Amino acid sequence: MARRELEEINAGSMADIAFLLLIFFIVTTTMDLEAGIPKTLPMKVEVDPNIELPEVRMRDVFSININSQDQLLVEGKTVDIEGLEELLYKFYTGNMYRYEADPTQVEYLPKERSQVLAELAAAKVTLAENEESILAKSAVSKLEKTLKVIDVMPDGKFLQISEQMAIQVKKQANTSYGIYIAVINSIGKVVKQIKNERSKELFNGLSYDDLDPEIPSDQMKIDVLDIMVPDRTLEPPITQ
Amino acid sequence: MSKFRKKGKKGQPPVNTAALPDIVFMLLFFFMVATRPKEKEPTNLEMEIPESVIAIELNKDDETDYIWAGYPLDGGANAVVEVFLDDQLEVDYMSKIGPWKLSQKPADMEVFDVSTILKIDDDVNMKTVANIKDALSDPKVKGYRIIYSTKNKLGDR
Repeated sequence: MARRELEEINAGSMADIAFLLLIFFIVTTTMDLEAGIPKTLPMKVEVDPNIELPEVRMRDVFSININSQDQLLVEGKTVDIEGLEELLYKFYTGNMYRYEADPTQVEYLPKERSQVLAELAAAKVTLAENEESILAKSAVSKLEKTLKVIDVMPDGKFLQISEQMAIQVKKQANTSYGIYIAVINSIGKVVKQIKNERSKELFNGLSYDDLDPEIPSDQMKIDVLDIMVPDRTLEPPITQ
Repeated sequence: MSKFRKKGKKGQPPVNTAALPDIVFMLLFFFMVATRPKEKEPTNLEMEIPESVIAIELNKDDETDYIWAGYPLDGGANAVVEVFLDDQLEVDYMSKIGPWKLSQKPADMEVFDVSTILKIDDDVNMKTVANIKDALSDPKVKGYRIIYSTKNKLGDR
């Protein structure tokens, strides 16, 4: 059979079709990625009135009050946002390297490997007796976290921030969202700065920002730093 | 002289446009890969998103819901805050957030896995924000993951 020569397909309009699609995609999509501050809201729990809550010492709580005119009262002083960052930095680092160097700031408690190991063994026994107990579970996990940090400390000792430590952000009904985010931003900035400093000391000058959570050894370092510099934020219900 | 005259029509040869579709397709694929669809958004809200230096960029394939809150553009001095769930205005937003969150959830995911992006104008009062957070953290809804949408402030790291 004689082969018929193929006729050439006219592709002249292909460009038009592609342009049409291109323009459709340019119009309906956007280039900029969404950015934001992720938070996990606290779970609502019914507190048994019979449970005795531990007493909170004011030195362990960093209190921030924002009034309806967007003014800040931080630890009893009226300050601006830079002042807040300064005070928060002092709050964290006051006793971070030397036990009770500044008794007005949050307390750091000295931890040693042998003592933590003994406490952990005792806590595990308690948990084995009562496997449902939330308190026993959290005691074990806290001690395991402490141990994780001690493992990377060069001398096996670790000054750990008080368990009661918290940053309290009080707002009023007419406080603006802008100033609230500015405060959250400042807290995040200071915490990150301290994590950077600690990371450089412990991991040969590597900064916290450069750690990549995809790499397991880096993820371990991130975990350690998150335990060392926690950012527990409390948000009481707003007042009128 | 007619010996040297060219045969047929005079003029330049046509430009070869055969590669044009290739170029356009390349651009098209680039846009398809590098962009994401615009989210449904309300059109008449005043939106001044606050700035931050600790914002984290989101993965564009993550499953998310949007809540918008702001003052209407033509509201004047006595305007009240309007809350939109996606592009739907809800006056009684506190009771609508729960059912909306539950109905938006893909079948193979938990509500906890779908973060809610809060796009809130920086003049909105904290009362509204607290109400939204309250409705989300309802034990029946469990929408605990939120993201305060912020603009990246550069140069202040």
